[in-house]
Amino acid sequence: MPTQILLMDDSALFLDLVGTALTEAGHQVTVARDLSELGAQAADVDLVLMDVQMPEAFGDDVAMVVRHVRGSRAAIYLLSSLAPDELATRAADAGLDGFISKQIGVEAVVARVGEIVGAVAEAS
Amino acid sequence: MNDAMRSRFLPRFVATGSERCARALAAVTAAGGGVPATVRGELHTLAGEAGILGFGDLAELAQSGERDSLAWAEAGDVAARARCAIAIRTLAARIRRLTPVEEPRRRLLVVDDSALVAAEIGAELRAIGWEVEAAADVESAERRLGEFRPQIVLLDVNLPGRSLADSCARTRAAATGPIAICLLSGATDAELAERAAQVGADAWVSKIGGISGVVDTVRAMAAKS
Repeated sequence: MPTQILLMDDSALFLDLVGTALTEAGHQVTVARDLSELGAQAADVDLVLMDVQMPEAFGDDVAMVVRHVRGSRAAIYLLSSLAPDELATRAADAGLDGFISKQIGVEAVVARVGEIVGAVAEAS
Repeated sequence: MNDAMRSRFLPRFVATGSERCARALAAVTAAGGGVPATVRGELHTLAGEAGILGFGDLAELAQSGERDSLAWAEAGDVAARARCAIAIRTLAARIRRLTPVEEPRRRLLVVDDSALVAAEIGAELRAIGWEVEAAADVESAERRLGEFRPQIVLLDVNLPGRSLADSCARTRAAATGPIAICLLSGATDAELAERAAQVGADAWVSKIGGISGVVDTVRAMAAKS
């Protein structure tokens, strides 16, 4: 069964590019550009990939809401162009599962997601 | 990254990135205080888009502009605001260059009994995407004109055993489409201008100016056509 991934980012270009790459890698991807599009989708997915700096809110704040208010049990990773040390701190402070840097390029992001999905499947 | 994927998203990245730079530049150069939050937001998102597409140098440039926009916003650093504007202009120029502007395909026939001249002109023009063929005499040129269909013929004025008027007339008669004839000679410009007028050639160029002069002339002719 394909992994359900929710991708949230305010860049439509980024969502199309990464969404396409993850879909071609065999994942099932839904996307959200802002909080209104996020809806209830986060509750039903296996993995959430969340941008940090968005116009309406910070992704780590949104992720905390997704996890603690909406009760999502999905693994949540920050996916951002912020510096890795800042990302690590923000992910840890929000109690998230980790982070991926956008700067590694789409192929490496897809490979990293593959590793994460494998670990999530093993743990469940 | 996967070349097909990059090719697919590159035009969109160029369009989106250019728009982001335009918005950021308007915000950084706005009268009064400017709008640092807009600058920072656009550059941050642009850094992510460049990074995911594998343009690490563009991502770093956007991030340096983003850091400057933060210093400008938080500490009122005027120098940081100026650096930020420079970073945005540089980004915009580099993004524009990602879409190569290619010259349309051009075909040139060199008619010259000197193989060396033909080879040198051919090498220069092929390097910028032209198709170039050579003919050592008018008879060979007549055979090639129909199939190769050059837009420009570079015609040596001193082909052995034939007058220039005859060479020019036979070249035009054998062409199957519109062609421009450029006379090529070691004579001076004044002499060539007179001979071109006499035989109805479209242009002339002296070998005295070197191969680069010849190349510049035919490129200018192509740009006009």
